[in-house]
Amino acid sequence: MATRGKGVLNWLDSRTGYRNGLKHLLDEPIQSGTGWWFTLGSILMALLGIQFITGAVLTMYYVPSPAYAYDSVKYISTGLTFGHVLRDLHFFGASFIVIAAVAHLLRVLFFGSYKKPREVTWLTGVCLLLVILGFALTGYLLPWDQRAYWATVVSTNIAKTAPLLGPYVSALMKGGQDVGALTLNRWFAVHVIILPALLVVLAVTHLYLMRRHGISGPVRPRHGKSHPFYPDHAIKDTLVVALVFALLVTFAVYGHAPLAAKADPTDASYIPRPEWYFMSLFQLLHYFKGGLEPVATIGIPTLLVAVLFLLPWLDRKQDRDPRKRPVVTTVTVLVLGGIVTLTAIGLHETPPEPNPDIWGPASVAGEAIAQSTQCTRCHTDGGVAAVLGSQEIRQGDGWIEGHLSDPEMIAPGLRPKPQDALDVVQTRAVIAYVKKLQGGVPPPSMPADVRAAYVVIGSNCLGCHSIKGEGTRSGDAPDLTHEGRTRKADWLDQWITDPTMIDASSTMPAFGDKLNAQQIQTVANYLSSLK
Amino acid sequence: MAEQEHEIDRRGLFRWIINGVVTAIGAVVTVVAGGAIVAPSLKKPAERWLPAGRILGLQPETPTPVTVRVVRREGYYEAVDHETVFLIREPGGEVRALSSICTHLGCHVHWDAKARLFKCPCHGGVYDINGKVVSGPPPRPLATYPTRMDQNEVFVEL
Repeated sequence: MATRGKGVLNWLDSRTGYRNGLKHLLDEPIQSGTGWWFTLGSILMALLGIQFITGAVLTMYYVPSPAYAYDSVKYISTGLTFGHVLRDLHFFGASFIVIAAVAHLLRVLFFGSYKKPREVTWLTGVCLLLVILGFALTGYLLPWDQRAYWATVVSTNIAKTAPLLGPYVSALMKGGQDVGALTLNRWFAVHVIILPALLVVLAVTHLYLMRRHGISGPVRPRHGKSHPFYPDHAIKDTLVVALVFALLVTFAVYGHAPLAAKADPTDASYIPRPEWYFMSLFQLLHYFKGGLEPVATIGIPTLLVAVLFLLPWLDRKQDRDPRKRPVVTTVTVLVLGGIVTLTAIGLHETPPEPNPDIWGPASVAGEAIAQSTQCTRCHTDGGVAAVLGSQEIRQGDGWIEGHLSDPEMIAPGLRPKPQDALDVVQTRAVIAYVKKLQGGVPPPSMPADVRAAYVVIGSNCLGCHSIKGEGTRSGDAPDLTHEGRTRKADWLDQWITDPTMIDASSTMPAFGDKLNAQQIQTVANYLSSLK
Repeated sequence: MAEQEHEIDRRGLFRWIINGVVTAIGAVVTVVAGGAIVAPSLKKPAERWLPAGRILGLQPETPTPVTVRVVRREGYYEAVDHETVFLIREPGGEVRALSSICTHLGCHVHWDAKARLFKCPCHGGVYDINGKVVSGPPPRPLATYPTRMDQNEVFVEL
């Protein structure tokens, strides 16, 4: 049997010459002193291979349509055998790849490996990094949950800020004027057809050039004879890949790729949050406002990519030692430090994801409003409308909003606009409450003072502030989730009563005449307890 | 000479580790990816007793076509099919259910009350009231479905 197998292989070799090809691949001479830093490329290859396989299987179950995208992802995560691990491998694999790609880039930067004659290898590498980021961007939309939808609304609006062509590029990305069915379809096509094709072409070119010029090796050439790639260097690659793979599987088995509520284009209260690898760009937007916005959205990223592309020609000296290239080394460290800092600030400042099973201040305030006479005048036992919560509510957000702010719009002649009509914040609170009812989430039991604070916050503050994933931030109004870390109750009490007493330039309205002293104190005490 | 042998030992060990690691990673990926591909095909169809009408509406020994609403869960999708079965009330009171699908090429048969035969409009397949082939190309009798009664309501298992 064994000899027959060998016979078949001999025949195959005589027709294809595969043994010589394999030998050529495996016997690549590796310079003495080529260390562990030179395993990063192999890690990337292995991770990309896993993305290809898991991606192909995910495609068997995924539907790129707003009607079924979310349900199909939910089915993969919860209904399909091994589906949870499959999706998590793909989800966490993406983050692993971004980290490995950046590490690989930094290794090449510090080791000066981009220099002559490896300029084109470097160029294909920078293109590969852009393709990887393209994968990350397009893949993020596919689950069609709130995170996906709103992050894509932001990223396509960012494209809009580009000078001249911005609006056209944005419309091209969206396949129209809005993020919708056509956006999802084209991003899916880019994610599973166009980018993989580009990736294969670029990666093969990159590897071919790597073989053509040989691995750059240590910064200062060492004496000693070179070794064949297999098994002397391959063992290092293998051990590192094994470690990374074990880590990835651990994440996939014990982690949970997030799946927020299904995308809801009418829910203006959702706070968009990008994935961590785009967080630094997102955070940069906070420092460039108004007319300067394109500097952060287009200018700085374009400059960074341009410098990367031109680097082999900007730094042409032959010396590869990072200590003898102070400009490149310093700029790299500064840019990296900047990205890390911005990412850290961004992650720290981004409010947590709203948990659909937890009643936040908005929904608690909404419940209080729904139980007040404003609503119970009609929604009462034996009244003209059913008791709220007694039967299923099928109306959407838009209907409820109209019902609360302008009853004429919904049912002409049924009842006049009430004197004490709800404002925008209170309307949103009631919608949040109705959402909890629709989701079948039982009302929470909480201490009376927390509930009182929730009611005040939920019906007054969430037009400008966010807290625990609820509310909308506008202007400079901060997220209040961890307010107690920086502010004491006394200060907050005074600030809420009249901010201009503390800071004359504050734009926050004074609440001293809208709320009574006890309400303000309750809120101040509660916020100061949030660490 | 001894050094060279030591070198060979070392490389042999490296090869062994490399092969082992590659096999292990391949096995994990194959189990996860392969499992996810194969799993839905191995799932046994759930037992489905579906309501098919009331026994009082059935004429004795006359096949009555009824349309049964069949809901199937296909992953993320809920497929709704309508299948026609013939209910036949026996003299003893029990009810039989016959498939309306011709065993030849899958056309729908109809009941010819005059001839007291099921006839297929496609290729002339003919069955008797028990579903047995009388003439034509059908290779097998019409399929019979299990039935049960629950307070005058007929249930068919599809």
